[in-house]
Amino acid sequence: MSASSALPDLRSLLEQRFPDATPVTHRTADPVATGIQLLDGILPNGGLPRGRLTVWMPQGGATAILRAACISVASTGERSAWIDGLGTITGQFWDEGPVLVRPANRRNSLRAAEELMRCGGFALIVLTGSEPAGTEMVRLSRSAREGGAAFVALTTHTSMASVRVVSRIMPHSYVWQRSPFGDPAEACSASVSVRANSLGWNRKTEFRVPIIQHDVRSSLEGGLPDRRGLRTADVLRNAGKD
Amino acid sequence: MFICIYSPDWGASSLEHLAMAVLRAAPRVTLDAGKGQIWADGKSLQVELICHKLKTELEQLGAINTSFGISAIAIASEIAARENLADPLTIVDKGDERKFLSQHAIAVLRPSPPLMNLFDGVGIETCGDLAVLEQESVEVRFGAEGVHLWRLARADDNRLIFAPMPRSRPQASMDWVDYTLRNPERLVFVINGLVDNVSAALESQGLCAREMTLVFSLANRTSYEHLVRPSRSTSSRKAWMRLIRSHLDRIELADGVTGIALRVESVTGEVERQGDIFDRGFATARATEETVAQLLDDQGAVIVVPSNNAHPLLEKRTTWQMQEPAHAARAHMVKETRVDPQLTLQLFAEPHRIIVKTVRRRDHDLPVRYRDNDAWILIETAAGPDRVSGEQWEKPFAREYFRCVTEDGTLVWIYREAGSGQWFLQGWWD
Repeated sequence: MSASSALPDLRSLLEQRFPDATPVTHRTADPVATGIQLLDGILPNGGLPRGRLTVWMPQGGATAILRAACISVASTGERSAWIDGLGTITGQFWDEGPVLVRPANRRNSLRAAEELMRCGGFALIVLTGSEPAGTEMVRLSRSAREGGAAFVALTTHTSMASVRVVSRIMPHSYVWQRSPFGDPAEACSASVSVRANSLGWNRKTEFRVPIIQHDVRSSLEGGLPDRRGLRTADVLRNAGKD
Repeated sequence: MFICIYSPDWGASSLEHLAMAVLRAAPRVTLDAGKGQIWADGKSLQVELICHKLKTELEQLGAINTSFGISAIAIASEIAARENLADPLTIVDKGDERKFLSQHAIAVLRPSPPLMNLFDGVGIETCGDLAVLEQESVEVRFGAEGVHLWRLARADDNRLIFAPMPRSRPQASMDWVDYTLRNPERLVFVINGLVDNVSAALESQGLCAREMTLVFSLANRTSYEHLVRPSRSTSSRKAWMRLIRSHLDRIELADGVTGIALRVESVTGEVERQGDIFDRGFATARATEETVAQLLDDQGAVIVVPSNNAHPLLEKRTTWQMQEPAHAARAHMVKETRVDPQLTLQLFAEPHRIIVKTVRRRDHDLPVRYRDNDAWILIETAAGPDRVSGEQWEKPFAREYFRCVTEDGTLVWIYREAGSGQWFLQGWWD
């Protein structure tokens, strides 16, 4: 038997004997680089593994980092998708590039993730707000393997995960712009600590992340009484009578 | 079969008039004004019968001295008509065209005077003399024109006498006379059936529709036409239905509908778009588009893009608009991309009611801890208030917003309703 025919036969045999096993793409397929050098530096093989599940335990900063990764992927000509299970994404801060999916419920979120992964057209798919558990996680992992997408789930369930990442914002790392009274007025940046774990892999990094503020607008309607500084409902009631 | 009709009496001006008469008997007609002859298409028809009809039609117009040449090869039928004037009908049997041509003088092929001199010089007098030569020797001695005539002499005529028949574009329609429809759902039901038929016809022909027109016949005896054009030509029933549904939302009809027709306006071949070699998502574009379309069909408008306005309240600034599958599947190749992570505000779908402990600071109360669910959460730092008020006539609001860092490092966004004095947790930075 030649070597060229033996390899497919061996693969076939392994698939029959171990149907739940996943092929070792670790260090064999190009990972999906997040575009954040410090983060890529602590991830195995320099990025999020394709065809595998990465569990990101959200303790702060996960959305910022993964959205940047999605945009980075889109900038390379590949596709990325963000499944916003709870509908928490604010439209004002959403950038063009990744495909944004806002399913109606948890079940639809998982279905959307599965379909998008199976089509093979996405390099990175991030699932937030809908935590898959048990068999759902197995099913999604298989879909990721079939489609070849790097699948990142923001969840605390780490089973089936190829890479586990924890990020948190350091409480005392906030840099504030001060008011004339010396009080904190606007948060400018904070430090995010990220730790990546995998089989025989444990790395950590920390980097500063700017904080984007939305513009606070008062009423657009002219002629309104200025209610700034109001503490009771009296003035509103008076305005209603007027 | 080609039917060539010729008469030495015809002038160029009378050809069009005669062609109209010929068209009454033959399905396709072409004029050759330069040679003063008319071509009629006798393919799959009884040529003798057609020729009899043609002769009758022409005689009614006074064209008596006509000759007909019939052959499967255009040059054979042309020479049969032009050179056998004594015989009004000459039929060259299939397979005998070369033999028929070989008897005729080379001059019937109308060589240019210099080429005719060359033919005279080497002793080529008939088409048969030219046809027996080899292509290489003809090309070397007589050039491109010689090769062209050599082909004709061998009954190898690749001229396109008749333009190809354009295919009729798929269309479907349904009419009803006993009642009128005003219910959009029933209209969609009918259109769904029409789209199904048209898509099936397109797929069977291997075509994609670029544009379709919806024609509504109205009860007031008028009709309303609406052009629908996708971003990319397709024969997919789902894609067309999705697009038509979105157009139907915007259509206003003057009266009830008594009939609907759907016709394809323009088509393209079922070919893949040309891609960019640097577009890494190109190969999977079609699969992605189909998946996105399937997702939209199954779950509704879940693939969205934001459309922002200037409302004072952040939760009311955004309306989410459905993204078309073709656009969603497109690899964006964003230029000058910012990949630096940024902490941005995330909003709860509904603000959470919370209990807040405050301390007095100048003209406001500063939150120091809040209770969400079952636990008290300590606030390390609080910035604010940012005061927002408005909407005097509908639901007036007046809020004091605070940005607070909790003991676990999360920057949360809470506000106090000035009207009720209640506190709410609206979002967090992540």
